[in-house]
Amino acid sequence: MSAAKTAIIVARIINQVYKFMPNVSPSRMKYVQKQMTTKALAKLLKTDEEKQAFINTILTMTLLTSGAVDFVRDPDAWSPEKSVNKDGTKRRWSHILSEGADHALTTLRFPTYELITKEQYQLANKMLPLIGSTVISSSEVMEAFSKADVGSINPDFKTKMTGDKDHLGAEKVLYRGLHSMSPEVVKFLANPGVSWDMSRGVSTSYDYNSAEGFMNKGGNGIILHMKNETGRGFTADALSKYKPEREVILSGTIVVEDFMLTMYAGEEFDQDKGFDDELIKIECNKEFILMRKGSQMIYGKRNVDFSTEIKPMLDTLLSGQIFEFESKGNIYKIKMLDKSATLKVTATVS
Amino acid sequence: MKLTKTQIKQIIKEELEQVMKEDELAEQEALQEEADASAKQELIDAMSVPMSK
Repeated sequence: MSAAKTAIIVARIINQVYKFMPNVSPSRMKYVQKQMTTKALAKLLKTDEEKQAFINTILTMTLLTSGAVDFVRDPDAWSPEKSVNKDGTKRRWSHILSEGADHALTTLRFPTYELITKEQYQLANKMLPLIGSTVISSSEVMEAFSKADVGSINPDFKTKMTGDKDHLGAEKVLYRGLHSMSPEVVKFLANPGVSWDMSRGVSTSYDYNSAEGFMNKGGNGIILHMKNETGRGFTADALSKYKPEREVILSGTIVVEDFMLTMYAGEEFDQDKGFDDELIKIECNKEFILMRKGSQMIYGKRNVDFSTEIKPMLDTLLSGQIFEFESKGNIYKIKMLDKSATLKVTATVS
Repeated sequence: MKLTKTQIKQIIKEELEQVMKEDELAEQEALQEEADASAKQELIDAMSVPMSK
């Protein structure tokens, strides 16, 4: 097994350790978590190469989840003046590490009190695609867990790990919420079969509610429901300073399978008056269109051809142009209400 | 085979229309590719930012 893969498996075990909430006092819990981390590191990271790979993995994950994303993307943008906290103090590793990550790195003698450097952002930029595309199975994690024998420190933890044994590999469904997106992105994604390359590594979550909450922050909202059958990704989760987001770093290619778009449009648009009429709610996926005005359905069609009917309609509306159609003897001229789209996309990751 | 002036004019007109149609199509495709590339970039940039931020 490569040092990089060993590092990710060890990170997965330590992640479980810091997700574990035994029924003991907080100070006792911290003590048990530290003990288990120290033992896992000692038992599983045998070579310097494995130790370094683990350190690099934790640093990369931390820079993406708690560091400056702009510098991860473009390390050349880094400067000592810009690498600061909100209060203006120079940013050190100890400022952005989670408790678990801090303890693991300290155990491996990484100087967490030092300032974050440009070279470390360069390293994260290089490593992100690798850790985001790693595939580990539950059985590989369980095998390492048995070898580390951390279960002997706390039997409850051993029971929990065994209970979770089918979920120790990568999460099979990942979510990502997006808000304030341009109509062009909505148009691009509302198109089954389109794909895009995310191999540089992006942030996702296995928690639907986190993604949905993020999507609802305003503007055109999108939620991606990604089937991750190949089991890619690095579960940052409890190793990240932002545990509730249940974060997974993912790298791969996404292909859209289906979508459900909801948006609002105004009729008889007048630039001076704006939308002075009751709004029309439009819902569609790759094979049906439904339009309602208040409680009245003004247009509905199933088994619609996507390329000749749905796509041209979406292209027109999402480009801000007037879309004209006839229904039940009435002619409608409608225009999309700005920032009113909500798009739910089902996709696969490979 | 001899062609009349009218026939030659018609052929030239049709050819010209065909070329213009192809140019228009190529331009539309190029614009679409540009729009898709820009959408992909916006998407990747947005997805790079953790949802905790």
